[in-house]
Amino acid sequence: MSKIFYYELKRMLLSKLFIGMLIVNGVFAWYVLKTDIIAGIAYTAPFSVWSYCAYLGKVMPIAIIAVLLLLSGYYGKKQKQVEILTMAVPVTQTEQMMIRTAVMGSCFAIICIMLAIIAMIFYIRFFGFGGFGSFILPAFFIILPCFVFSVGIGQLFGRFHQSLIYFLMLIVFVAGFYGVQNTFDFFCAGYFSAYPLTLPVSNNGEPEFAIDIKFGVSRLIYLASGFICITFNAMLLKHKPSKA
Amino acid sequence: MRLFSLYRVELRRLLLSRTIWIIAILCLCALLPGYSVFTPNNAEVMSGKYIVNPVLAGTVIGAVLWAVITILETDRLHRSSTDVLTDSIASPISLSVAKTLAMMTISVFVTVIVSLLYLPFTAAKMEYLFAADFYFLHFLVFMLPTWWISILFTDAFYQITRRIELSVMLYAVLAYFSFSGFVSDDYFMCWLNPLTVTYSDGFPSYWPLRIGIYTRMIWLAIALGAWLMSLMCIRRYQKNLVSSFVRGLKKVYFLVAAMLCISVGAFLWVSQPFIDHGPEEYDENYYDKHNDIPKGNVSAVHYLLKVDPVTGRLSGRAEYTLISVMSGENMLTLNAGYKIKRITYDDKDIEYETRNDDTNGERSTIFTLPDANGKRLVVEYEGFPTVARYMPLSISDSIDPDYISLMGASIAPDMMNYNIDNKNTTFEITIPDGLIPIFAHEQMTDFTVNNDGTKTWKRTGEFIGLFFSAGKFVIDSFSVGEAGIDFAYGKIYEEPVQDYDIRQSVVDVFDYCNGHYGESGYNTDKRLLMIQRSAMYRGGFAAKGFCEWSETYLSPETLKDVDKGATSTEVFIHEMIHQWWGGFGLKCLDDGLWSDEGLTVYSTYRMVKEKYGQLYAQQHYVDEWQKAVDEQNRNFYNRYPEYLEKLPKKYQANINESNLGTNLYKRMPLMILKAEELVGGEEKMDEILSKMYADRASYDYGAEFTYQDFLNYCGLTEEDLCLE
Repeated sequence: MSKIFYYELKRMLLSKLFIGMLIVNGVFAWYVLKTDIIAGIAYTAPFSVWSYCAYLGKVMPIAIIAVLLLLSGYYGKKQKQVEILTMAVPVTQTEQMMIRTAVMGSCFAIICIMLAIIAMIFYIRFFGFGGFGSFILPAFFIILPCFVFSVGIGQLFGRFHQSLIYFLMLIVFVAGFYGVQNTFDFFCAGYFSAYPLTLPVSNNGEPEFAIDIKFGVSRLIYLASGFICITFNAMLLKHKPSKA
Repeated sequence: MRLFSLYRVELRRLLLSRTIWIIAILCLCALLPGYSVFTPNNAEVMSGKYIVNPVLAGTVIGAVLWAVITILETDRLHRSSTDVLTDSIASPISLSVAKTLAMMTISVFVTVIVSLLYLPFTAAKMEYLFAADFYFLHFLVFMLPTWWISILFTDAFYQITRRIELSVMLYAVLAYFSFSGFVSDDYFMCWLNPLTVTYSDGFPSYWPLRIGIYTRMIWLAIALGAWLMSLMCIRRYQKNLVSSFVRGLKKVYFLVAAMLCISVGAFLWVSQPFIDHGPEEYDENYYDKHNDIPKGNVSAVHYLLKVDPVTGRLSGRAEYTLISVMSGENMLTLNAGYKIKRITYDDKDIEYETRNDDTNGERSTIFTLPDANGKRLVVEYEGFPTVARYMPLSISDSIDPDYISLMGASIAPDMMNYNIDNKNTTFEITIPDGLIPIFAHEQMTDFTVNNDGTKTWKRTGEFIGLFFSAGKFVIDSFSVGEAGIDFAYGKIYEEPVQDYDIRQSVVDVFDYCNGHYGESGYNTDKRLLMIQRSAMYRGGFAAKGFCEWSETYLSPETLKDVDKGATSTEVFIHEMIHQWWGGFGLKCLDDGLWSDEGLTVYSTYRMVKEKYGQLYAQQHYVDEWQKAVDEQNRNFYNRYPEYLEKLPKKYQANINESNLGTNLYKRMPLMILKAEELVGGEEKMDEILSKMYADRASYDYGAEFTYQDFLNYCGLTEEDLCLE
């Protein structure tokens, strides 16, 4: 199974689409940092955890669109034509789906690492800031639910029709740029821009980083919903090995 | 011939396609959001509300719709796997060209139908303001070319990638770029959503259309180049992109044409005459650089100007009578769009060199005077006035058939090495008949009629500053007590000025300020000129003996909107109050916090409070001031200024500019309000201000009133007014 995983991953990473999306994500991330984050979010420092989380929230829609675009390739006409061959391998359809999910996860991780590196370069270059340790945990809090939920829904939609994934991308685009600012903010950019304004400021003139319980619960709901979608999708597939 | 027959077949096929008709109907509806939700242009003027915004909405939405149909149509053969058959019948390149041309032809039909469909509604809404040529030009300048650009780009993306989702993605990236903050005030980058300045009803200008045509030409050339290039990528014989492109290179004329188109686009971009090519930031020290150098003297100046309203160009001649000459290298600056034709020194041509050093909308020219014996220096120049890059959305210099506005170096050279005695100046300008000219804050009265439908206006004597405007003004002269006032406004605003009794508002301001601070210095000898300016020029301005406002503050849309707070009609009051605080009254020393603005904003608040009540004044003034000051205090870069220095200059300038605005217009009024509380209330404050005005208003530029002077009058210290 690992061989198939590595083959799929290699195929995906070397595709023009992935490389193109990586470039698009990188350019967009630099643009967000240079035009928006540089001013500081909610009057905090550009290198505060608030600003970093808002940065992740702002770049996440494009990262998720990239993942959905990669995912849509598995539900295309050409893919279905070659499926008769790929089904010859001795793995169940559920296992194949899990491999594809893992490949998507790996691609998404690479995009996220690139986004983090770009932010690090930006912070070091402009502010000489290097304390990135405090960013790690909140970052997982944002990106994990986004990925699991989007891939879960994407796989479910893709089962019915490839164009439904494109429709989902449109929703992601709209939600990403015209999203809500409350606790159910999927990409969190609005939440991390608005919530610190409601908190008392500490001695350094900025609110301490904290996440309210409602927001935490909403992230868990997104995460759980994503897992449910993936599981449900797996249950719909046949559990027997495909015939060669 | 083959291409033409394919084009006819494609056109017929597309016209019979249901999808095209759906797109056409959607394009007809695409203008509707422009009346409500999509309003990039200021909707306070009728032409913005009923022409520009709907057309821009139709432009953007329609462009996206044409992109969708282009992708669907281009992919149709490949999708149905019939491309193998059609490729054997006709050249895929010819087929693609025919299809694109057919699509563009249909977009012309749709544009015509859209413009005719909305014509009756627009004409009915705009009534006497409606001009058919102005209306149709917007469809031709903005809508149709943008649709074509969209079709060409989309087709190019598809031909290169041969994949729908990638083409959509590339188009989305390009569209997002056009809307992004990167290019928000750049006319040349906004390919999908043409950037427009605020339009004017009272003083119509073709400037937005001129730059609109230019930017569309740039993008059409680039899109055409990309499309021609993409034709070489059309897949042949089941080959991939690279092999097809290599094969396509055999048709070298495509490559040449593509390169030519892209080069034309790039050339037009680089040599654009609308915005100066200098830095984005305003250079505060630009005018101070030559203050300390020794200077010669000019005893008399004669300016002769002629404008061409059709092309928007000016030709000028400035004659200087010299009484002491700075021999050697001299410098002058002119609007960056002007070109010097000739410089003579005692009627002999001298050499000069114009530098590429655009700053604040001006460009310098160096010329060398051979000796100090000359008496007469003449500079002849000509050109299209450019807009300063640091403020691209405020058009202060424009030449149109119905309105002319010019100032400073857009009128005549700024001679850096000479002190000019303004007492002996002659200003002559030839403009279209029917326009009323105002020069240096006074109406011009002396003219001669020419035989070509123009008049040459002349004014001699002393004046301060080079400010010229001409338009279809109504000048209402009246008195408030001793004060003589000339109120110049656009002819089309006669009705709202009467309906909303604007004259009474002027009287109210005079009554209020005369009553609270003291009599103004305006009488029969010194009159106050109040001028309404085109909405293309933002904000308001006041100086000795005159004040002016952007057109929108008197527009019916603004006047009837009761919810508008301190940002609209009250600017009208604000600028008039400047005749007491600043300009012609008590002139305050501007130190970045204390200035004329603090007292003027505070007085406006007090007058508005008296007029509209405490609640209104609190909401629109005090709360707004406090909010802005709180935001300024919380801003990271104000808390840690050492980080500000690490930012690029552009960001530093933005933050400094924002801080300056907050200090002058929000923080200082709030401090004066605090002073009011500390000295014992409004009445006591009025007494202090009245005494200040009586003691220090000079009706001329005397010693400027400092913040410490103000504190002394109030009996307070700096610490007392600290807002922390």
